[in-house]
Amino acid sequence: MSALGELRLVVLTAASLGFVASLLGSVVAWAVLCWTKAWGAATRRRVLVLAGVAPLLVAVVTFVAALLPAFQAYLDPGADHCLHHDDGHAHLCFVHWPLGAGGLTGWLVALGLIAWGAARLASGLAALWRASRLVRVLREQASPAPDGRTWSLPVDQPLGLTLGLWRPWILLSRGMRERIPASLLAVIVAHEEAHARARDTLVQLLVRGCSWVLWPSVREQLLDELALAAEQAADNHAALVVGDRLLVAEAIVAAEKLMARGSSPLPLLAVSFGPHHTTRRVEALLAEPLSGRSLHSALLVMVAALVVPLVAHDHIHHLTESVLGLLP
Amino acid sequence: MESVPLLGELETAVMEFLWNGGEGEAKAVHRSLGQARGITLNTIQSTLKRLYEKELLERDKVSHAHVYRPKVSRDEFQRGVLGGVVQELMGGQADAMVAAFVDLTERAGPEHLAHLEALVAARRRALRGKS
Repeated sequence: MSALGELRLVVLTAASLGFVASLLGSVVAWAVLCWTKAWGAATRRRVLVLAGVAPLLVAVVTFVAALLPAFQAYLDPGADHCLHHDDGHAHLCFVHWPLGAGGLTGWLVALGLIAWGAARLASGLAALWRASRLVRVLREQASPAPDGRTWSLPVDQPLGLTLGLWRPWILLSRGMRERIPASLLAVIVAHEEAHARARDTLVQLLVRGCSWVLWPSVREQLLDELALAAEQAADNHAALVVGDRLLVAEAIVAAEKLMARGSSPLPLLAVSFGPHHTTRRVEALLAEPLSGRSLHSALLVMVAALVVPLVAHDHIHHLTESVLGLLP
Repeated sequence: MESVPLLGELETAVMEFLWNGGEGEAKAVHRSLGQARGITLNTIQSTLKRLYEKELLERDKVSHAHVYRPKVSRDEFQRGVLGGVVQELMGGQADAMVAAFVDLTERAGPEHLAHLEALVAARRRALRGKS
Protein backbone atom coordinates (compact mmCIF):
# COMPACT_ATOMS: atom_id res chain seq x y z
CA MET A 1 0.00 0.00 0.00
CA SER A 2 2.89 2.40 0.72
CA ALA A 3 4.25 2.12 -2.80
CA LEU A 4 0.76 2.65 -4.19
CA GLY A 5 0.37 5.62 -1.88
CA GLU A 6 3.56 7.08 -3.29
CA LEU A 7 2.31 6.47 -6.85
CA ARG A 8 -0.88 8.29 -5.94
CA LEU A 9 1.14 11.27 -4.71
CA VAL A 10 3.27 11.30 -7.87
CA VAL A 11 0.17 11.18 -10.10
CA LEU A 12 -1.53 13.95 -8.10
CA THR A 13 1.70 16.00 -8.31
CA ALA A 14 1.72 15.62 -12.09
CA ALA A 15 -1.98 16.51 -12.24
CA SER A 16 -1.57 19.58 -10.05
CA LEU A 17 1.33 20.84 -12.12
CA GLY A 18 -0.57 20.04 -15.30
CA PHE A 19 -3.52 22.08 -14.01
CA VAL A 20 -1.28 25.05 -13.23
CA ALA A 21 0.44 24.68 -16.62
CA SER A 22 -2.96 24.58 -18.30
CA LEU A 23 -4.14 27.78 -16.61
CA LEU A 24 -0.93 29.78 -16.95
CA GLY A 25 -0.07 28.34 -20.35
CA SER A 26 -3.51 29.17 -21.73
CA VAL A 27 -3.26 32.77 -20.49
CA VAL A 28 0.22 33.14 -22.00
CA ALA A 29 -0.84 31.50 -25.27
CA TRP A 30 -3.87 33.77 -25.52
CA ALA A 31 -1.65 36.81 -24.87
CA VAL A 32 0.81 35.64 -27.53
CA LEU A 33 -2.03 35.20 -30.03
CA CYS A 34 -3.15 38.79 -29.44
CA TRP A 35 0.37 40.23 -29.32
CA THR A 36 1.62 38.65 -32.56
CA LYS A 37 -1.36 39.38 -34.82
CA ALA A 38 0.51 42.04 -36.77
CA TRP A 39 3.83 40.19 -36.93
CA GLY A 40 5.46 38.74 -40.04
CA ALA A 41 4.49 35.14 -40.76
CA ALA A 42 7.87 33.48 -40.18
CA THR A 43 8.42 35.09 -36.77
CA ARG A 44 4.80 34.60 -35.76
CA ARG A 45 5.10 30.91 -36.61
CA ARG A 46 8.16 30.50 -34.36
CA VAL A 47 6.57 32.28 -31.41
CA LEU A 48 3.36 30.28 -31.74
CA VAL A 49 5.41 27.06 -31.72
CA LEU A 50 7.07 28.21 -28.50
CA ALA A 51 3.69 29.12 -26.98
CA GLY A 52 2.37 25.69 -27.94
CA VAL A 53 5.18 23.53 -26.54
CA ALA A 54 6.33 25.67 -23.59
CA PRO A 55 3.51 24.91 -21.10
CA LEU A 56 4.02 21.15 -21.28
CA LEU A 57 7.83 21.45 -21.25
CA VAL A 58 7.77 23.78 -18.26
CA ALA A 59 5.29 21.47 -16.48
CA VAL A 60 7.53 18.46 -17.08
CA VAL A 61 10.63 20.31 -15.87
CA THR A 62 8.76 21.52 -12.79
CA PHE A 63 7.54 17.97 -12.15
CA VAL A 64 11.14 16.72 -12.33
CA ALA A 65 12.18 19.57 -10.03
CA ALA A 66 9.47 18.60 -7.52
CA LEU A 67 10.81 15.02 -7.45
CA LEU A 68 14.50 15.90 -7.52
CA PRO A 69 15.01 15.99 -3.72
CA ALA A 70 13.24 12.61 -3.51
CA PHE A 71 15.69 11.14 -6.06
CA GLN A 72 18.61 12.79 -4.26
CA ALA A 73 17.55 11.26 -0.91
CA TYR A 74 17.16 7.85 -2.59
CA LEU A 75 20.66 8.01 -4.05
CA ASP A 76 22.38 9.76 -1.14
CA PRO A 77 21.04 9.06 2.36
CA GLY A 78 22.94 12.11 3.57
CA ALA A 79 20.61 14.25 1.46
CA ASP A 80 17.47 12.85 3.13
CA HIS A 81 15.50 15.87 4.39
CA CYS A 82 12.38 14.01 5.54
CA LEU A 83 13.62 13.78 9.15
CA HIS A 84 12.92 17.52 9.39
CA HIS A 85 9.27 17.09 8.44
CA ASP A 86 6.49 17.40 10.98
CA ASP A 87 4.24 14.41 11.41
CA GLY A 88 1.40 14.34 8.92
CA HIS A 89 3.29 16.30 6.27
CA ALA A 90 2.76 14.75 2.84
CA HIS A 91 5.97 12.99 1.83
CA LEU A 92 6.99 13.13 -1.79
CA CYS A 93 9.87 10.83 -1.02
CA PHE A 94 11.18 7.47 -2.26
CA VAL A 95 12.82 6.62 1.08
CA HIS A 96 10.01 7.37 3.57
CA TRP A 97 6.89 6.22 1.78
CA PRO A 98 3.45 7.28 3.05
CA LEU A 99 2.13 5.09 5.88
CA GLY A 100 -1.30 4.97 4.30
CA ALA A 101 -2.53 5.00 0.73
CA GLY A 102 -4.58 8.15 1.16
CA GLY A 103 -8.29 8.88 0.93
CA LEU A 104 -10.72 7.37 -1.58
CA THR A 105 -11.32 10.74 -3.28
CA GLY A 106 -7.63 11.15 -3.96
CA TRP A 107 -7.50 7.63 -5.38
CA LEU A 108 -10.48 8.21 -7.64
CA VAL A 109 -8.97 11.43 -8.93
CA ALA A 110 -5.58 9.79 -9.53
CA LEU A 111 -7.09 6.78 -11.33
CA GLY A 112 -9.42 9.01 -13.33
CA LEU A 113 -6.49 11.12 -14.46
CA ILE A 114 -4.48 8.06 -15.49
CA ALA A 115 -7.47 6.75 -17.48
CA TRP A 116 -8.06 10.13 -19.12
CA GLY A 117 -4.37 10.51 -20.01
CA ALA A 118 -4.25 6.99 -21.44
CA ALA A 119 -7.39 7.61 -23.51
CA ARG A 120 -6.01 10.88 -24.92
CA LEU A 121 -2.71 9.22 -25.77
CA ALA A 122 -4.43 6.26 -27.42
CA SER A 123 -6.66 8.59 -29.44
CA GLY A 124 -3.67 10.63 -30.61
CA LEU A 125 -1.67 7.55 -31.56
CA ALA A 126 -4.66 6.10 -33.43
CA ALA A 127 -5.03 9.31 -35.45
CA LEU A 128 -1.31 9.26 -36.21
CA TRP A 129 -1.49 5.62 -37.31
CA ARG A 130 -4.45 6.37 -39.62
CA ALA A 131 -2.61 9.33 -41.14
CA SER A 132 0.58 7.30 -41.56
CA ARG A 133 -1.35 4.52 -43.34
CA LEU A 134 -2.96 7.01 -45.73
CA VAL A 135 0.36 8.66 -46.53
CA ARG A 136 1.95 5.25 -47.15
CA VAL A 137 -0.82 4.27 -49.57
CA LEU A 138 -0.56 7.62 -51.39
CA ARG A 139 3.18 7.09 -51.81
CA GLU A 140 2.55 3.59 -53.20
CA GLN A 141 -0.05 4.90 -55.66
CA ALA A 142 1.93 7.99 -56.74
CA SER A 143 4.71 8.07 -59.32
CA PRO A 144 7.71 10.44 -59.60
CA ALA A 145 7.03 13.40 -61.89
CA PRO A 146 9.45 14.34 -64.71
CA ASP A 147 10.44 17.54 -62.83
CA GLY A 148 12.28 15.41 -60.27
CA ARG A 149 10.88 17.48 -57.38
CA THR A 150 7.30 16.24 -57.08
CA TRP A 151 5.16 13.12 -57.29
CA SER A 152 2.00 12.64 -59.35
CA LEU A 153 -1.25 11.03 -58.32
CA PRO A 154 -3.73 9.92 -61.01
CA VAL A 155 -6.87 11.49 -59.48
CA ASP A 156 -9.08 14.34 -60.69
CA GLN A 157 -9.27 16.20 -57.36
CA PRO A 158 -6.95 19.24 -57.51
CA LEU A 159 -4.48 18.32 -54.78
CA GLY A 160 -1.23 20.09 -53.96
CA LEU A 161 0.21 18.57 -50.78
CA THR A 162 3.31 18.11 -48.68
CA LEU A 163 3.17 14.77 -46.92
CA GLY A 164 5.19 12.93 -44.32
CA LEU A 165 7.10 13.93 -41.21
CA TRP A 166 10.78 13.01 -41.42
CA ARG A 167 11.38 13.25 -45.18
CA PRO A 168 8.48 15.31 -46.53
CA TRP A 169 7.57 14.84 -50.18
CA ILE A 170 5.40 16.87 -52.53
CA LEU A 171 2.35 15.53 -54.34
CA LEU A 172 0.46 17.18 -57.18
CA SER A 173 -2.57 15.37 -58.56
CA ARG A 174 -3.43 14.98 -62.23
CA GLY A 175 -6.42 17.24 -61.57
CA MET A 176 -4.09 20.02 -60.40
CA ARG A 177 -1.49 19.62 -63.17
CA GLU A 178 -4.05 19.59 -65.98
CA ARG A 179 -6.20 22.49 -64.82
CA ILE A 180 -3.71 24.96 -63.36
CA PRO A 181 -1.48 27.00 -65.72
CA ALA A 182 2.25 26.29 -65.57
CA SER A 183 3.04 29.68 -64.00
CA LEU A 184 0.70 29.01 -61.09
CA LEU A 185 1.91 25.42 -60.74
CA ALA A 186 5.42 26.81 -60.21
CA VAL A 187 4.02 28.87 -57.33
CA ILE A 188 2.39 25.82 -55.78
CA VAL A 189 5.59 23.78 -56.03
CA ALA A 190 7.64 26.61 -54.48
CA HIS A 191 5.05 26.92 -51.69
CA GLU A 192 5.11 23.19 -50.93
CA GLU A 193 8.91 23.12 -51.04
CA ALA A 194 8.90 25.79 -48.33
CA HIS A 195 6.67 23.53 -46.19
CA ALA A 196 9.02 20.61 -46.76
CA ARG A 197 12.11 22.66 -45.90
CA ALA A 198 10.53 24.02 -42.71
CA ARG A 199 9.29 20.52 -41.72
CA ASP A 200 5.89 22.09 -41.09
CA THR A 201 4.08 18.76 -40.77
CA LEU A 202 6.48 17.60 -38.04
CA VAL A 203 6.43 20.94 -36.21
CA GLN A 204 2.65 21.12 -36.23
CA LEU A 205 2.38 17.53 -35.01
CA LEU A 206 4.76 18.36 -32.17
CA VAL A 207 2.76 21.42 -31.17
CA ARG A 208 -0.49 19.45 -31.48
CA GLY A 209 0.94 16.83 -29.09
CA CYS A 210 2.41 19.27 -26.56
CA SER A 211 -0.49 21.72 -26.49
CA TRP A 212 -3.06 19.31 -25.07
CA VAL A 213 -2.48 20.90 -21.63
CA LEU A 214 -3.94 24.16 -22.90
CA TRP A 215 -7.57 25.15 -22.49
CA PRO A 216 -9.42 23.62 -25.52
CA SER A 217 -10.61 26.91 -27.06
CA VAL A 218 -7.15 28.48 -26.71
CA ARG A 219 -5.53 25.36 -28.13
CA GLU A 220 -7.86 25.34 -31.13
CA GLN A 221 -7.11 28.99 -31.84
CA LEU A 222 -3.36 28.47 -31.41
CA LEU A 223 -3.27 25.50 -33.81
CA ASP A 224 -5.37 27.38 -36.34
CA GLU A 225 -3.14 30.48 -36.20
CA LEU A 226 -0.03 28.32 -36.39
CA ALA A 227 -1.34 26.60 -39.52
CA LEU A 228 -2.12 30.00 -41.04
CA ALA A 229 1.32 31.39 -40.14
CA ALA A 230 2.97 28.35 -41.75
CA GLU A 231 0.89 28.86 -44.92
CA GLN A 232 1.71 32.56 -45.04
CA ALA A 233 5.42 31.90 -44.50
CA ALA A 234 5.32 29.41 -47.40
CA ASP A 235 3.42 31.99 -49.49
CA ASN A 236 6.14 34.58 -48.79
CA HIS A 237 8.84 32.10 -49.77
CA ALA A 238 6.99 31.24 -53.01
CA ALA A 239 6.64 34.99 -53.74
CA LEU A 240 10.42 35.38 -53.40
CA VAL A 241 11.05 32.41 -55.69
CA VAL A 242 8.68 33.52 -58.48
CA GLY A 243 9.30 37.22 -57.87
CA ASP A 244 5.61 38.17 -57.82
CA ARG A 245 3.38 38.30 -54.72
CA LEU A 246 0.28 38.79 -56.88
CA LEU A 247 1.01 35.56 -58.75
CA VAL A 248 0.94 33.66 -55.44
CA ALA A 249 -2.40 35.31 -54.59
CA GLU A 250 -3.72 34.30 -58.03
CA ALA A 251 -2.56 30.71 -57.47
CA ILE A 252 -4.40 30.53 -54.13
CA VAL A 253 -7.63 31.87 -55.63
CA ALA A 254 -7.36 29.55 -58.65
CA ALA A 255 -6.75 26.47 -56.46
CA GLU A 256 -9.57 27.43 -54.10
CA LYS A 257 -11.98 27.84 -57.06
CA LEU A 258 -11.01 24.42 -58.40
CA MET A 259 -11.54 22.79 -55.03
CA ALA A 260 -14.91 24.51 -54.65
CA ARG A 261 -16.03 23.20 -58.05
CA GLY A 262 -14.64 19.73 -57.36
CA SER A 263 -14.49 16.93 -59.89
CA SER A 264 -16.48 14.35 -57.97
CA PRO A 265 -19.44 14.68 -55.62
CA LEU A 266 -17.42 14.87 -52.39
CA PRO A 267 -19.46 16.35 -49.56
CA LEU A 268 -18.40 19.80 -48.39
CA LEU A 269 -17.54 19.31 -44.75
CA ALA A 270 -17.51 22.98 -43.87
CA VAL A 271 -17.93 26.26 -45.65
CA SER A 272 -16.44 29.28 -44.00
CA PHE A 273 -18.21 32.59 -44.44
CA GLY A 274 -15.84 34.34 -42.06
CA PRO A 275 -12.18 35.34 -42.39
CA HIS A 276 -11.11 31.99 -43.81
CA HIS A 277 -7.40 31.25 -44.23
CA THR A 278 -7.67 31.80 -47.97
CA THR A 279 -8.97 35.33 -47.41
CA ARG A 280 -6.26 36.19 -44.90
CA ARG A 281 -3.52 34.74 -47.09
CA VAL A 282 -4.61 36.67 -50.16
CA GLU A 283 -5.05 39.91 -48.22
CA ALA A 284 -1.57 39.50 -46.71
CA LEU A 285 -0.07 39.01 -50.18
CA LEU A 286 -1.80 42.13 -51.49
CA ALA A 287 -0.41 44.15 -48.58
CA GLU A 288 3.18 45.15 -48.05
CA PRO A 289 5.23 42.31 -46.51
CA LEU A 290 5.67 42.64 -42.73
CA SER A 291 9.19 42.77 -41.33
CA GLY A 292 10.59 40.10 -39.06
CA ARG A 293 11.25 40.60 -35.37
CA SER A 294 13.85 39.38 -32.95
CA LEU A 295 12.87 36.44 -30.81
CA HIS A 296 15.62 36.92 -28.24
CA SER A 297 13.32 38.05 -25.44
CA ALA A 298 10.86 35.18 -26.07
CA LEU A 299 13.69 32.65 -26.04
CA LEU A 300 15.14 34.16 -22.85
CA VAL A 301 11.78 33.84 -21.12
CA MET A 302 11.50 30.23 -22.29
CA VAL A 303 14.98 29.34 -21.05
CA ALA A 304 14.31 31.04 -17.71
CA ALA A 305 11.02 29.16 -17.34
CA LEU A 306 12.93 25.89 -17.80
CA VAL A 307 15.96 26.69 -15.66
CA VAL A 308 14.34 28.41 -12.65
CA PRO A 309 12.35 25.35 -11.46
CA LEU A 310 15.49 23.21 -11.56
CA VAL A 311 17.50 25.79 -9.63
CA ALA A 312 14.70 26.27 -7.10
CA HIS A 313 13.88 22.55 -6.84
CA ASP A 314 13.90 22.52 -3.03
CA HIS A 315 11.28 25.25 -2.88
CA ILE A 316 9.22 23.55 -5.59
CA HIS A 317 9.45 20.25 -3.71
CA HIS A 318 8.28 21.70 -0.37
CA LEU A 319 5.54 23.74 -2.02
CA THR A 320 4.30 20.61 -3.80
CA GLU A 321 4.26 18.64 -0.54
CA SER A 322 2.28 21.43 1.12
CA VAL A 323 -0.27 21.44 -1.69
CA LEU A 324 -0.52 17.64 -1.64
CA GLY A 325 -1.13 17.82 2.10
CA LEU A 326 -4.30 19.79 1.40
CA LEU A 327 -5.68 17.16 -0.98
CA PRO A 328 -8.04 14.41 0.34
CA MET B 1 -16.38 1.13 -57.72
CA GLU B 2 -16.83 2.19 -54.11
CA SER B 3 -13.76 2.47 -51.93
CA VAL B 4 -12.00 -0.84 -51.33
CA PRO B 5 -10.29 -2.01 -48.18
CA LEU B 6 -6.56 -1.47 -47.89
CA LEU B 7 -4.58 -4.70 -48.01
CA GLY B 8 -1.69 -6.04 -45.99
CA GLU B 9 1.55 -7.22 -47.56
CA LEU B 10 0.57 -10.88 -47.95
CA GLU B 11 -2.92 -10.01 -49.20
CA THR B 12 -1.35 -7.74 -51.82
CA ALA B 13 1.08 -10.47 -52.88
CA VAL B 14 -1.75 -12.99 -53.26
CA MET B 15 -3.85 -10.56 -55.32
CA GLU B 16 -0.86 -9.75 -57.56
CA PHE B 17 -0.26 -13.46 -58.05
CA LEU B 18 -3.87 -14.05 -59.09
CA TRP B 19 -3.98 -10.95 -61.32
CA ASN B 20 -0.88 -12.20 -63.08
CA GLY B 21 -2.77 -15.36 -64.02
CA GLY B 22 -1.66 -17.58 -61.22
CA GLU B 23 -3.69 -20.67 -60.35
CA GLY B 24 -6.23 -19.90 -57.66
CA GLU B 25 -6.09 -23.09 -55.63
CA ALA B 26 -4.62 -22.67 -52.15
CA LYS B 27 -1.88 -25.25 -52.62
CA ALA B 28 -0.71 -23.59 -55.85
CA VAL B 29 -0.62 -20.18 -54.16
CA HIS B 30 1.28 -21.68 -51.25
CA ARG B 31 3.83 -23.30 -53.57
CA SER B 32 4.48 -20.00 -55.34
CA LEU B 33 4.28 -17.53 -52.46
CA GLY B 34 4.06 -19.26 -49.13
CA GLN B 35 7.03 -21.61 -49.18
CA ALA B 36 9.56 -18.89 -50.00
CA ARG B 37 8.19 -16.77 -47.14
CA GLY B 38 8.04 -19.63 -44.65
CA ILE B 39 4.26 -19.31 -44.46
CA THR B 40 2.04 -22.32 -43.85
CA LEU B 41 -0.75 -23.52 -46.12
CA ASN B 42 -3.24 -22.60 -43.38
CA THR B 43 -2.11 -18.99 -43.52
CA ILE B 44 -2.55 -18.89 -47.30
CA GLN B 45 -6.01 -20.43 -46.97
CA SER B 46 -6.96 -17.83 -44.33
CA THR B 47 -5.67 -15.03 -46.54
CA LEU B 48 -7.67 -16.27 -49.53
CA LYS B 49 -10.78 -16.56 -47.35
CA ARG B 50 -10.24 -13.03 -46.04
CA LEU B 51 -9.92 -11.64 -49.55
CA TYR B 52 -13.09 -13.50 -50.52
CA GLU B 53 -14.90 -11.95 -47.54
CA LYS B 54 -13.62 -8.53 -48.62
CA GLU B 55 -15.32 -9.24 -51.96
CA LEU B 56 -12.09 -9.06 -53.92
CA LEU B 57 -12.17 -12.73 -54.93
CA GLU B 58 -14.77 -15.14 -56.23
CA ARG B 59 -14.52 -18.88 -55.69
CA ASP B 60 -15.79 -22.17 -56.99
CA LYS B 61 -15.73 -25.51 -55.27
CA VAL B 62 -13.73 -28.00 -57.30
CA SER B 63 -13.58 -31.45 -55.77
CA HIS B 64 -12.80 -30.72 -52.13
CA ALA B 65 -11.03 -27.44 -52.56
CA HIS B 66 -11.97 -23.87 -53.37
CA VAL B 67 -10.47 -22.27 -56.45
CA TYR B 68 -10.24 -18.50 -56.25
CA ARG B 69 -10.14 -15.89 -58.99
CA PRO B 70 -10.11 -12.09 -58.84
CA LYS B 71 -13.52 -10.42 -58.72
CA VAL B 72 -12.08 -7.02 -59.67
CA SER B 73 -9.31 -6.14 -62.09
CA ARG B 74 -6.07 -4.58 -60.86
CA ASP B 75 -7.04 -1.23 -62.40
CA GLU B 76 -10.49 -1.26 -60.81
CA PHE B 77 -8.94 -2.12 -57.46
CA GLN B 78 -6.36 0.66 -57.65
CA ARG B 79 -9.03 3.18 -58.65
CA GLY B 80 -11.09 2.05 -55.69
CA VAL B 81 -8.13 2.31 -53.33
CA LEU B 82 -7.29 5.77 -54.59
CA GLY B 83 -10.90 6.88 -54.34
CA GLY B 84 -11.13 5.73 -50.73
CA VAL B 85 -7.79 7.24 -49.78
CA VAL B 86 -8.57 10.60 -51.37
CA GLN B 87 -11.96 10.63 -49.65
CA GLU B 88 -10.28 10.04 -46.28
CA LEU B 89 -7.72 12.72 -47.12
CA MET B 90 -10.47 15.24 -47.94
CA GLY B 91 -12.15 14.26 -44.67
CA GLY B 92 -9.10 15.39 -42.71
CA GLN B 93 -8.00 11.88 -41.72
CA ALA B 94 -4.37 12.57 -42.59
CA ASP B 95 -4.17 16.09 -41.14
CA ALA B 96 -1.42 15.03 -38.73
CA MET B 97 1.02 14.44 -41.61
CA VAL B 98 -0.21 16.65 -44.45
CA ALA B 99 0.14 20.32 -45.41
CA ALA B 100 -2.16 21.31 -48.29
CA PHE B 101 -1.85 24.30 -50.62
CA VAL B 102 -5.48 25.12 -49.91
CA ASP B 103 -7.42 23.66 -46.99
CA LEU B 104 -8.87 20.26 -47.82
CA THR B 105 -11.85 20.32 -45.49
CA GLU B 106 -13.00 23.93 -45.39
CA ARG B 107 -13.94 26.17 -48.31
CA ALA B 108 -14.12 29.95 -48.56
CA GLY B 109 -17.66 31.11 -49.20
CA PRO B 110 -18.50 31.98 -52.81
CA GLU B 111 -18.95 35.68 -52.04
CA HIS B 112 -15.54 35.85 -50.40
CA LEU B 113 -13.94 34.04 -53.31
CA ALA B 114 -15.46 36.43 -55.83
CA HIS B 115 -14.38 39.39 -53.70
CA LEU B 116 -10.79 38.06 -53.53
CA GLU B 117 -10.69 37.45 -57.26
CA ALA B 118 -11.83 41.01 -57.89
CA LEU B 119 -9.23 42.40 -55.45
CA VAL B 120 -6.40 40.50 -57.11
CA ALA B 121 -7.55 41.47 -60.62
CA ALA B 122 -7.82 45.15 -59.62
CA ARG B 123 -4.32 45.10 -58.15
CA ARG B 124 -2.98 43.45 -61.29
CA ARG B 125 -4.62 46.14 -63.47
CA ALA B 126 -3.22 48.87 -61.26
CA LEU B 127 0.30 47.43 -61.59
CA ARG B 128 -0.01 47.21 -65.35
CA GLY B 129 -1.28 50.79 -65.44
CA LYS B 130 1.78 51.99 -63.53
CA SER B 131 4.17 50.15 -65.79
